[in-house]
Amino acid sequence: MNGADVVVKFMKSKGVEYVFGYPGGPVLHLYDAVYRHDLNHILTRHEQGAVHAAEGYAKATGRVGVCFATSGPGATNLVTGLADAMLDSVPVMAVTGQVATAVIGHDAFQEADILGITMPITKNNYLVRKKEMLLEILEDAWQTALEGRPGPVLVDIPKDVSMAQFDEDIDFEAAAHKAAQHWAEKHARTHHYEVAAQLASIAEALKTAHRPMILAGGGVTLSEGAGALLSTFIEKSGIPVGITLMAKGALVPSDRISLGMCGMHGTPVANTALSKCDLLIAVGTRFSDRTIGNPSVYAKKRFIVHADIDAAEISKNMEVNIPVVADAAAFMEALLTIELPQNKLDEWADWKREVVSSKHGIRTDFKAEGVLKPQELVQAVARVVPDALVVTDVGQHQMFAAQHFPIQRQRSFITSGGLGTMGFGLPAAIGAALGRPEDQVILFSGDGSIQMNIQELATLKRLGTNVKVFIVDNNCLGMVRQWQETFYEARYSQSCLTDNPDFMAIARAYGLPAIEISAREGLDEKIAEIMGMQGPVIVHCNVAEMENVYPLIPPGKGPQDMVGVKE
Amino acid sequence: MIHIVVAKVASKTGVLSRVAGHFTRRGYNIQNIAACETHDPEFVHLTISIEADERDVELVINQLSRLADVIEARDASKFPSSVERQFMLIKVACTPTQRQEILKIADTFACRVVSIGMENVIFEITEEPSKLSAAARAFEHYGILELIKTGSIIMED
Repeated sequence: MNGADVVVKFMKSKGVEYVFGYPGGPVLHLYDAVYRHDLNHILTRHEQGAVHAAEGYAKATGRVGVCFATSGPGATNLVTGLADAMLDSVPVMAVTGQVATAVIGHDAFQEADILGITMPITKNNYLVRKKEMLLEILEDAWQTALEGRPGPVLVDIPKDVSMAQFDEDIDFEAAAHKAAQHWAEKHARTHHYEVAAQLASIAEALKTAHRPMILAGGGVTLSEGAGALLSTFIEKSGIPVGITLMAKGALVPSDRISLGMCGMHGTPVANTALSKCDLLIAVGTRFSDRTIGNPSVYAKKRFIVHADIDAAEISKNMEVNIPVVADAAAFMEALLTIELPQNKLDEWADWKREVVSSKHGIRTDFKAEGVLKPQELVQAVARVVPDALVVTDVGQHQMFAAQHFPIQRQRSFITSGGLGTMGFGLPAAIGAALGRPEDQVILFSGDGSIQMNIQELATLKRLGTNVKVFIVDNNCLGMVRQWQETFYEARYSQSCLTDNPDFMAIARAYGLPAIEISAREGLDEKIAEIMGMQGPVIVHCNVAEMENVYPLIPPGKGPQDMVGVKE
Repeated sequence: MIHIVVAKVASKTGVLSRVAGHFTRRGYNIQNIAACETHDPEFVHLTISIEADERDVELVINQLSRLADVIEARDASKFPSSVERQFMLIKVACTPTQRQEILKIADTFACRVVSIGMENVIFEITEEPSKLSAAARAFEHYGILELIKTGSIIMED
């Protein structure tokens, strides 16, 4: 048994269903072990595709997404995906090959210091310098990816380590135990702002609140059971709730209890509530600039309770009054034990009514006339497959999907939220579809985004997974164009894609069925017909070029500066 | 204001660059740093001086604490009482005729003579950082040829 066998057996011991990757020189031993042990490996057509597919799988299932890549360029091609996983707290484990330990630092062929390169964009990364360290590192990396706030890890394995001989009776359990102990010890040392200690102050804050509001973030999606607990609390207290992009789908049933998405392209009601509330209970959110705009707008004007599993998020983007370091579900459970001030419930109900019945609706408005609007397309797909698992790329189509597709279930809106990675969508949709084979996966991509990892159409073709790819083609980089229109006096610098390739021909070249949508008439029927087709379908959708995503809170501004709200 | 962050970290390859990277990534310039194995060879003690305000130091410490290899990170300015030391080697221009005068100054600042040459003299001094600066200022008049300091170390009293 060699080091490569240890890696593959380790993956099997963890119940890894799929590994996404791409072979190369220093991982030849690893790929030989993949072959001999029949590990379920998905060949993507680029390492970036592999890491995004691993992310898509992880986001859809909550399990660790695993990807393999070779040294040098193989490893550096993972960088964008690891950074993406870091910002969106996605448990991804990357295993890279490295040149032999004897030549590390000698600028050997296909050598790159991937440990140094990925240090700031991984939760932890490891170079296996000695074969004795291999198993321990694999275990530690696995648990690091999953523990607390999840995130990406990278294990770099030199060729001589994957070739080195190991005993057959290698003890996976002992290594797992040691890694678990490491994390248990680390957690035992850190106990800031525990929920039990803060509960009394939160109860006090509720007693004096006239206009309380809850802001639910991605932590509610990631924490098992948090969404249901939060829904219970919302129904019990009547406190209005807004969500961030990363919490889409976390609350059930979302429409009945949620004001919708807060932030730059959030709903008018959610943003209005955010600007008017006097007590904000934020759960599992890092107060991203895309959610809150300018933090100084909020400072000292409202009382803020902030619960996050990551102590480093406390007071990072927003000064808060009551910090709590806790998992979202644990926090919600504790919150449910608070005796609600009964005399306040009527006042809160009035406040919620005032917010919801304000002239601004939950959905944003657009005119369904002229060329087909991207919003119409999204709404039509949502009508035909309301319980779909929706994956998006990045840009206008992403925001249209977020605004117009009401997501019904947890982990069913998969998007690159923090890093905003164009090219994320197609491979992520493939990974998500493998993780959730029973679900109908819908990918909304753009004519810009799809071309950033279009080679993965080959992966899609080979797998035949049930992904319906909607290329929302507006002949431009829509979001860039919109900003140029809004903030740069319509100087459309490098954002026009009027000479786009023939996407239908591309789909056919990859051996995939292609369908075109241009008309408003019979839209639902056409989409229903597409959904009736087995396996992947590429749907090329011609939509209006000049449509903008509204409402828009300009960068650095607050909810009161929202523009594009139709009266 | 200069803040001293102390951290106990696992003695692993790359841990120093991991920790230092955390500071530079957030735009802090490390003024000085001391790193050495503790009495337990499994751990390294780091002392890092940075220019930052109190809130930033708290953020940096929270972020450092979540690194897998960081056992504990603290802001030394929160120590109720402490002893801080820095070590300096200083080479001062010194002709034989100036020697007595310079050695007298050295004595005042508790500098130890390391070597005496025909054109210079080298002192070593271990003291609080402010005393090191004061000593250096006193020698400025004669000409400082070279000055090398280690990072500060600080211990809770």
